[in-house]
Amino acid sequence: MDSKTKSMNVLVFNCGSSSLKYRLIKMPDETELSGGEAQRIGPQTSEPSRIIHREAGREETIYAEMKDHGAAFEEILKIMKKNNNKVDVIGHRVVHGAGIFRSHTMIDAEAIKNLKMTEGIAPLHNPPAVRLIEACHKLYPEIPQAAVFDTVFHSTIPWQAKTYALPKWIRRKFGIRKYGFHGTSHKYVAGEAAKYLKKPLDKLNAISCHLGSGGASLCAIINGKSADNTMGYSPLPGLVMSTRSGDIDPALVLQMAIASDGNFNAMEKLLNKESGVLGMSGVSPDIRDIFRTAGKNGATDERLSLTLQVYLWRLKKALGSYLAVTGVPDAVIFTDTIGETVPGVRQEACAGMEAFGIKIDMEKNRNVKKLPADISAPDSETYVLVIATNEELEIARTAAELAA
Amino acid sequence: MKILIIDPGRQALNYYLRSENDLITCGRISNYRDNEENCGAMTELNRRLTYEDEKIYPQAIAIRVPFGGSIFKEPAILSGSVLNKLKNLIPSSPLHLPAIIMLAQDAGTVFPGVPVVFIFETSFFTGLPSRERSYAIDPAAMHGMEIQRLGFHGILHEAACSQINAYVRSHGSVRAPRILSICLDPKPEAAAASGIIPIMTTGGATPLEGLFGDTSCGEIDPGILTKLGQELKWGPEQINKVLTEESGIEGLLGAGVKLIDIFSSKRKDHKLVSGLFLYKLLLACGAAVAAMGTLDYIVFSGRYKDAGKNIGTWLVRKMGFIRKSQEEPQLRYMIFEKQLDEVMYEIAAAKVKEYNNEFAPADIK
Repeated sequence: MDSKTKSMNVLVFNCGSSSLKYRLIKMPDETELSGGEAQRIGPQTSEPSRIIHREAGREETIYAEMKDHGAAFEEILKIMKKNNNKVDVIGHRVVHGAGIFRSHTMIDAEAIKNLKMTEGIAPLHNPPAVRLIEACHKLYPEIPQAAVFDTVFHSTIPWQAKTYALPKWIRRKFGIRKYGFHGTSHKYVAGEAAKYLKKPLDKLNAISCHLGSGGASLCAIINGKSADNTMGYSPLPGLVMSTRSGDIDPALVLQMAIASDGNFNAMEKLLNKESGVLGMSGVSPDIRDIFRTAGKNGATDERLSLTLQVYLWRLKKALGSYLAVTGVPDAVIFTDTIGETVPGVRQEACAGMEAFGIKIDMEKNRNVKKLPADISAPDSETYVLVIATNEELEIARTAAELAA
Repeated sequence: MKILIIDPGRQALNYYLRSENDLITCGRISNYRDNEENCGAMTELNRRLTYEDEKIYPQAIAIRVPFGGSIFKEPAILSGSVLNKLKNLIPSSPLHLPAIIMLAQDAGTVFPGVPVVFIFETSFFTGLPSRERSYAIDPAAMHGMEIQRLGFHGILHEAACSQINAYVRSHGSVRAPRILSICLDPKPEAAAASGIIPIMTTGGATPLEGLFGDTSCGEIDPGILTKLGQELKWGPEQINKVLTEESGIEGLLGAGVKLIDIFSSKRKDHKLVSGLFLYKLLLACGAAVAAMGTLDYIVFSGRYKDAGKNIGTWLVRKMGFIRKSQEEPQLRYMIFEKQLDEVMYEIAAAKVKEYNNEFAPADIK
């Protein structure tokens, strides 16, 4: 953080389809003042809408009607006011910048107009965030807002890594290319790895493995910049994820579409919500559950075992692919829920990778207690690091820089 | 032994009449599927089998079959039960198998008593580990189709890997070489093998997945397909046509240029496309190292194998950083010179010999 940045409180929003996570971060100290999550936003469900708010080591639940994200935002600001927490800047996580936003941006009427144009390219992810930004801008125009895009970090991916071999007119008409995702997380952990290794970020070569309990992607980083990402035009391809298929033969998708009478909406749902770990295992979308139960479940054992094997195999192959791009890197970084907490995944991903200069210390890997942690063996040429991601902090940093 | 080798494509059929060392004649029959009456394609083939005005009668017929599911782990001689098994696989390969079954049945009529050998592109890949074969989708969503990654250039991969394996063993090594076999064809494919045991492939359940080709898109984000379906209101067949016939190099350049030609071209746009192809191969090399622990040989085969010299030099240089012990050979590339018809000849001849031995009277044995 630039020491010249003036002191300000940044309220960071991470918008889900029916939830709104928030954190208030004091900059440039980077201390978290409060945080929480508004849950069950939208039409009434079996349980009431509520906000779980955390501050000063305490947690409270506030029940309030929240018909949309704008209403949730108003309730959160009420809590901030009640607790005397001043909000100077708002930072929004926006998943997809499409081809329109090549850098993060402050929000004004023009930006909102452009943000609406991104909804078509990311219909599952962007609309709630855009609605929220619009509501914030209308209700509190005096609070500066910044949109921070997951895709911006990947704007450095070169042509050969981002181009699909499709007809030019289709690529142009629909802006089809690899955009990459989880950029905020990949950027954050790359910065933390550079600090840990005492190396300038612009000299860092690394593979960042963002393995979440939901989505997951790998990023090849050369000289601190994204060189490739396993996700693509959408967050669907690449690794096996909790409910997303990852890579799949395009002809299979078409065959399934024929079998479902050309219903592409059903295909989208199937590939995004009913595939991956859940679809393969038939039991759970969480690979941690599969790790725990594979080999202990009798009849379903074979299916669980195969799920685990495919999950780990794809991860290993993707890691190998990116190591061919970076050469022996400074670091391989594991982050997010699965990357930070499941030693078995790290062990399998790094097993037999000596040809790339990678060797982990089994004992260190099993006993990671405090992050960041180095789990590489003494004779490993590459550091293998476990780093806690902090996308909200990265968003706060970016928003503060933009607002300053 | 003279063997008629048939390579049926989607529209045209290529044929080769070979003896052990020579190609006697070869040709192509267009739109062979349209001529179903009176064994049309096979009758036409029979008419063309002459050499210096002399009629030549094949002693065996070999047919290339792109898909044999997990059932056909090796070549098979045409019989009632083999035909039934093939018919059961039609739902998984509806574009190819009906025409092949028709050809085989017609061969029995036009060339009575001549054994017909089916040689499957997928046999080599039936040995792939299940973790490589499987897709992360709910099996129930596949509507009973047999869905698994089985590659599609198994005949050449197996032959190329076998040759390297034999070469390595003749030089005294007991360790199976770790090979990346790259078949450079209009629809190219890379496969990793430890000796002759397949470990991974860029190919998929169909030839569309993996590396892009002359007109095929290769691997793409499945989200793009749903986008095209929703936005253009196109049906699956229309999208499939664009992905298989108007994409790849043709889609990138907007012109019909072959993969082999972009590697000898000095044009800037051709160089960009060759760079894209090389990048995909680099990713495949990295995945192969991760899958096998290292890489000893890269071998090129297929119609465009001559581009392997440029590609091989580049890949060996790019992958030169991989760490090797003193006992391990340095990474190098090779070109597998035999073409598909030569390899198919060898396979069919061996199969027919085996068949004749099996069914010969006991006293002759």
